[in-house]
Amino acid sequence: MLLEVKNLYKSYQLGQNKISILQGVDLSVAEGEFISIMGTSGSGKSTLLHILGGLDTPDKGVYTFSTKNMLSLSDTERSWIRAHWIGFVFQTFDLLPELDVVGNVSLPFLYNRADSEQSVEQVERAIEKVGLTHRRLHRPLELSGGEMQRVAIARALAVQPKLILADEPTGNLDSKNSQIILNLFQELHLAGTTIIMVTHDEKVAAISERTLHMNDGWLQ
Amino acid sequence: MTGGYNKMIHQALSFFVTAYRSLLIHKFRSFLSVLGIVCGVMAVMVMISTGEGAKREVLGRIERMGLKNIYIHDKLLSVELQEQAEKKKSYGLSLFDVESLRSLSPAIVQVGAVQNAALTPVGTGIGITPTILKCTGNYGELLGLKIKSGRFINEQDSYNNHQVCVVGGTLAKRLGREGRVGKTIRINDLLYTIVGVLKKDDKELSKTAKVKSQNFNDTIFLPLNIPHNLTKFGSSIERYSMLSSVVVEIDVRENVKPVARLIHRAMELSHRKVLDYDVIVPLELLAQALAAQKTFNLVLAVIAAVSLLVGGIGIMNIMLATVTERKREIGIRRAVGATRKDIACQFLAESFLLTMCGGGIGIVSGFACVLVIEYLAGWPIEITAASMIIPFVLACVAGVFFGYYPAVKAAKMDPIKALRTV
Ligand SMILES: Nc1ncnc2c1ncn2[C@@H]1O[C@H](COP(=O)(O)OP(=O)(O)OP(=O)(O)O)[C@@H](O)[C@H]1O
Ligand SMILES: [Mg+2]
Repeated sequence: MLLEVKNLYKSYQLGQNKISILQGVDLSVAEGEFISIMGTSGSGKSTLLHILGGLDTPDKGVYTFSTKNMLSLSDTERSWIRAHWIGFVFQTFDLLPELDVVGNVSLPFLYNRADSEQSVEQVERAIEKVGLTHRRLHRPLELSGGEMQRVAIARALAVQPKLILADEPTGNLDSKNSQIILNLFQELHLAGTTIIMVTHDEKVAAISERTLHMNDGWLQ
Repeated sequence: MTGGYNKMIHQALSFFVTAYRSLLIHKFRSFLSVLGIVCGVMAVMVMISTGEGAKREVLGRIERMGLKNIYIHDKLLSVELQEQAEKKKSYGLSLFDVESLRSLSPAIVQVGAVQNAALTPVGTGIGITPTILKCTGNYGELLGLKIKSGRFINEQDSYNNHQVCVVGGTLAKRLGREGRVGKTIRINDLLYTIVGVLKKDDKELSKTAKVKSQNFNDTIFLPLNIPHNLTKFGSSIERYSMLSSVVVEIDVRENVKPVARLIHRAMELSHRKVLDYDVIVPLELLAQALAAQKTFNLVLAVIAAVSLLVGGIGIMNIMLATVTERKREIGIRRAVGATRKDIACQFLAESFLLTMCGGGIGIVSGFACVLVIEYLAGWPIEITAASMIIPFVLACVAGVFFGYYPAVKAAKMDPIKALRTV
């Protein structure tokens, strides 16, 4: 198993009210799996993804990633894991507007140990993989939504992570661009990358090997 | 681990590149925010430069007077005081003072005297009126006057009343051929042979002089006639040979103060408490000047601190705004693996760069300002390396100091909140 989650709880305190978001989530993901998570808006899918990526911490539960007990690691150690093993793709693309495509895709290498020469090569290969070599010196504002999301995917896969976490990656795209993105995920999956993707779209979920539903704070 | 080292340099570089880029995005805002630092650095630089200039000038002047010398200048008295002085039979500085000072203390090496002779040379046709001073043979040595050719007045000239003279550098030049050793100058009805020419002294007579300085470029020195037996002439000579100044040389600096006290007492006695003289001790002037400089430095430090504080607060303000504005960027960087330290370093690099630029602009404009002051006000200026480095370093320190809190704030930001911010 690449990652194992058991009995995960997360709630938010809003004034007097305690809003429980995750109430005993269990999840096991094997290496190389392609999983999609569906669920109503506000059900806690993003929250779960953030916890899996070590950006957020649950109230209680167990989370093992690549044999490491993620919940006992320090912030710095979790940052290290993100920099080397995990790639994020967000619905809103989340590129830095002042950097060009190469700059954005290189961003993770700034925070990881890879040596510079090797990382330049990996960046170029990632850009090539998403088919944006001809746009490599453009800034995000000069790109279409679909192209921006491809840059975000290139950024996520450039470090050759063990796990890619995608939060509604096609949420803001038309069907044609969505298809391009999904094809990319399919390719990554075939190349052996583990992918967990949150989506609202049944058709999108259909390309994954396994679809889980977030219901009342747990996955089924 | 050269790889790790390279990586670190690469990372630091990228922090500065990022910082540089984000400053460029808000050029005008960045400029406004460093204005305080710019003014602070400029002010400190101008103050140090003018302070150093004034200090150098004053100290230079004092040192030229000779730190082992004590001067006793003749003082002009008001009419009432003059009546009093005559009643008490005090007739100003005279050769008697020179005689009695000579044996006052074993620490006194020699005593020289100079008299401002109200004479003018005849027929030189050079357009300037030279000052004519009659002096003792040791006067040149006492004041450290530099001879260009020939010799200075000596003891024999003085005692034997030789008709010789020494001319100042500028004057000699103006006289041309006639200003050389061996030529003669006519003063009143007498011809004086030039035996020496002084080196031209290029120390300017500054307008802001706190301590009077003199140069002898336009001076003609004649020997001061010293009678072989002073006492024989009695009191009549006192009136006759009024000296303008007496110079006393002390053997070592440590003795200057005690001997000065002795001189005060001796003079008080011999002049019967009539203050028709001034005792000036360059060493004491030096101490006073240094003390004044200390006060000036303190004021300077306070002003520097205040201006950099104000400048620093400006930086902090803008950095806090930047951190809030770039929440999303912080979230993205954290998501791709930046640690808290990375985020902190990035913002610290930004405030550091900001103040460094401010410091640079401050130094350049300070330089311009100093030159303008020198040109317009004619103040003595000394631009030292310290006058540039000190405010610059202070500005950079202020940048790091005041950038620290915003940087920590950025680092502590919850990545989730940062990511959820639109
Ligand atoms: N900081 C917070 N304080 C209080 N409540 C929060 C906070 N962050 C998230 N929530 C709540 O947690 C719930 C889950 O949010 P989350 O973003 O995980 O939902 P989601 O399933 O991803 O929804 P969507 O499909 O719309 O993206 C929401 O009801 C949200 O309002
Ligand atoms: Mg969501």
